[in-house]
Amino acid sequence: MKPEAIRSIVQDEILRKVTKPARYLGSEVNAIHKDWDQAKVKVALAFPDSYEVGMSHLGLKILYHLLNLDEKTVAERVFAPWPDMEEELRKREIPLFSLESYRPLTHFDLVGFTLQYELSFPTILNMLDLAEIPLRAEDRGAEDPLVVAGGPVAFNPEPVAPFFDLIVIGEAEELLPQVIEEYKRYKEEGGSDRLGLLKRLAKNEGIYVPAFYHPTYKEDGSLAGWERSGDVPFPVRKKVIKDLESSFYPTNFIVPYLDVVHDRGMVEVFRGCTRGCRFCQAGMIYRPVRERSIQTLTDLALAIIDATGYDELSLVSLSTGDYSGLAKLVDELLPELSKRGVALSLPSLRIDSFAVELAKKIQTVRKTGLTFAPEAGTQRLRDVINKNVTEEDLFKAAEAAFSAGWHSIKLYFMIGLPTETLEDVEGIYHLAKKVAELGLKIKAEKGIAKQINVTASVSSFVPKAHTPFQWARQDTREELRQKQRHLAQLFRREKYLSLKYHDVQVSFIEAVLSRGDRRVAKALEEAWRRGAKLDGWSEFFSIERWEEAFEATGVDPYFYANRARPFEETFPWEIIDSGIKKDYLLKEWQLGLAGKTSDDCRGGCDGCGVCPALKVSNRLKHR
Amino acid sequence: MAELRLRAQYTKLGDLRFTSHLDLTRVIERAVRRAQLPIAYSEGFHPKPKIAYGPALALGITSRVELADFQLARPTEAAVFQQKLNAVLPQGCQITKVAPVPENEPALTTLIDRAAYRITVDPEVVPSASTLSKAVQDILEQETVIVQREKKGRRRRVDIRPYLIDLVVSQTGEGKVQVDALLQIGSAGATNPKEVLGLFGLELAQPGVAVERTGLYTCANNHLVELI
Repeated sequence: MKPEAIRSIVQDEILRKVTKPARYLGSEVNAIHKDWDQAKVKVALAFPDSYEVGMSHLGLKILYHLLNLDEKTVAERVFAPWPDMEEELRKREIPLFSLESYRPLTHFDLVGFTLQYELSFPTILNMLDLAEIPLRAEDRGAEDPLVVAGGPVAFNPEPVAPFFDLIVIGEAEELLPQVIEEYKRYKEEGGSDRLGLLKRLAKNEGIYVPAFYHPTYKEDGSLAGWERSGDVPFPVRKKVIKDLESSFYPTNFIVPYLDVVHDRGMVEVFRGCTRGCRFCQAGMIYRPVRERSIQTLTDLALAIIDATGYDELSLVSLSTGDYSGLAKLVDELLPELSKRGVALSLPSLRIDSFAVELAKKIQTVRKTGLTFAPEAGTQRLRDVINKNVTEEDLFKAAEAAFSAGWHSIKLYFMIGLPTETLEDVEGIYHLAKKVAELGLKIKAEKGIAKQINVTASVSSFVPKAHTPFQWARQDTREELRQKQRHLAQLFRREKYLSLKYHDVQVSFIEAVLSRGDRRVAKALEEAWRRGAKLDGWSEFFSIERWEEAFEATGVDPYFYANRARPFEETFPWEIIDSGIKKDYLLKEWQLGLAGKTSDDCRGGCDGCGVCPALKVSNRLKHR
Repeated sequence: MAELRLRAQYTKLGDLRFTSHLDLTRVIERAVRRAQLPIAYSEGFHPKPKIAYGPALALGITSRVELADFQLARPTEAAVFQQKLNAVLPQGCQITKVAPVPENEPALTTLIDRAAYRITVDPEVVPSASTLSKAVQDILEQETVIVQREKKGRRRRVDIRPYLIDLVVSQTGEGKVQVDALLQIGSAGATNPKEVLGLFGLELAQPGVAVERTGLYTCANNHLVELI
């Protein structure tokens, strides 16, 4: 279908009928519209969720502007249409199209999906289907785009491996331009030898071409290993940027018409985290820590405000409180931003009174809630997970927060962590209650009438690939439900406490998809055929569809989610080398089981192996 | 001459018609910041730029007559204001006129009590003007015109006849049928194009039906007065 035809049907017949039509316009301020015919390579950057979620994602913004720097490359965006829009498109047989030029995805050379969250997998299949691209890589030919994946969830690529021609592992700023250069060469050579292109690509660090690796299984159902076709690397090692300071960062962010989830300018302060929380996948796979300097960050922040007009700027990273120059950065930024009527926000602060001091300084504007993440209810369990935060830290921070005028505090916890006992679960309640009592005391002293509220937000632990907890089993759904019920009973009578918890069914599917091997792909495809899509949205998720899909395809979900894995087992994600040694993860797992903590590697190397393996090091700018 | 309070007339055309009123206010506020114009901010914990908008325009309707008042921190020339803002506003939202706001002028939403709309209908939807002319004549001859309104799940019957100030049907050169509707809006009672279309059995979201706001006025002694 011609882009003009799509545009006229969509704009004249459809957009006034669907919810939030501004999702589908592509004409936002700073959107890039390039001359299609001048480009050698056309890339569709696909985000398998709604526009509002996708447009909040920093990685997409970085790649969009980076790829469009190259004159010979066109990069355009595409998001999952909301079901009302999907219905209108399917009714009229309009294929999924890019926002900028309204071109069907089949007109692109590459279609790249970011894998941020396992439950978005069915949405990827739905988008491929809407785009009329064959779902499985083996069914695609020279006429079809290369379908590419990347992002953190790609660190266990196996459950989605059959659907992708190639998967990039690590930092895509380094990887995608390489792929594009190879693609240009391929086109210059006639653009017909797709297999040759994939073979060439597979030799690059950080590129996984699933078709060249064939998993084999043992009799007990566990993975034996992979047979390889041809001379391809094993395992596939992640690619990293050595120095973030000199790497590309955009300032002319697209400014959505709609109020998206994170509707603000964002500056990435650093990448990586060295705290070593044993449950945290991001803390492992994004190592090492690489900071930008105060000067660079200030320049970027102001350039972003000038280019976008946003009224809020956020300093983002995995743990912004850990930035080595944070106090100075905030002091330099604040006056410049307030001159422009712009507020500063710092998400993901750690628990300490320094954080509250900072929050006090920057939140001259809004006294919304403060959030802390103790993650577990007792010191014993916090030691197991290596969350190096004490009850005292939390109370000090809470005290500072209440004294500074906050009245609502949110605490993040997990249930189902390894070695958890009933006492640990109850610890969540006791901790929240103590924080609330502290608040009441301070309010009484100060004579403030405002109601105190402490919310415990409790999620269910999913043991993630490439973490020390990868050997752990997930609690069964019944175990998790019991813990939730127990908590609900404790919280019920408390006036100043609220409890929020997640659907155990969603956490269960997340575990299957994040711990699965390539055999899980057929269950995933079946779940999509039965209607699964946008499963991150509770209104669309249905456990029945998944149960039926497992049944129909003979995939045993408990084998993946609820089975403790023996030390000698080969994991599906061992096809990927994150740079961290398995020995290190095992040592951390055993330390955890023994309730012993480890230090942040800023204070001394813990021997995880990333720096020597990837020839990198932590780069702190201001210490 | 440089002014501290400016009124701007602007368009909401093209893609911008698919944005809500709230979305459009964000578009304008961000443009003001990109243009580095000296806008004044409200006091308090969450300072907001002092921009007062005219009545909201429903999603799907285009306009060349939208109005907003800007309070500035430093005196600014109207021409400079217009040129700087237009340079950074998205296509479809462009400022067509800027004028100083008279002293002690009340808010636009208080002032404005008349809005004109042009409804254009393709021949595939309504083949000739005469069908609509007849309908319009019938409507205007009635003493009451009852419509159903729903608010928070509760249905209410409202007589919109007093708010239908004028309806004029014509035929364009391209064979389309046009209805020029002058409606009362504001706090003293209002109707809107959606309800007017409903009287003809038409819908705002229907292909072949286009609606544009063509005027915003205040009514004084039975005369329509322009606000810019």
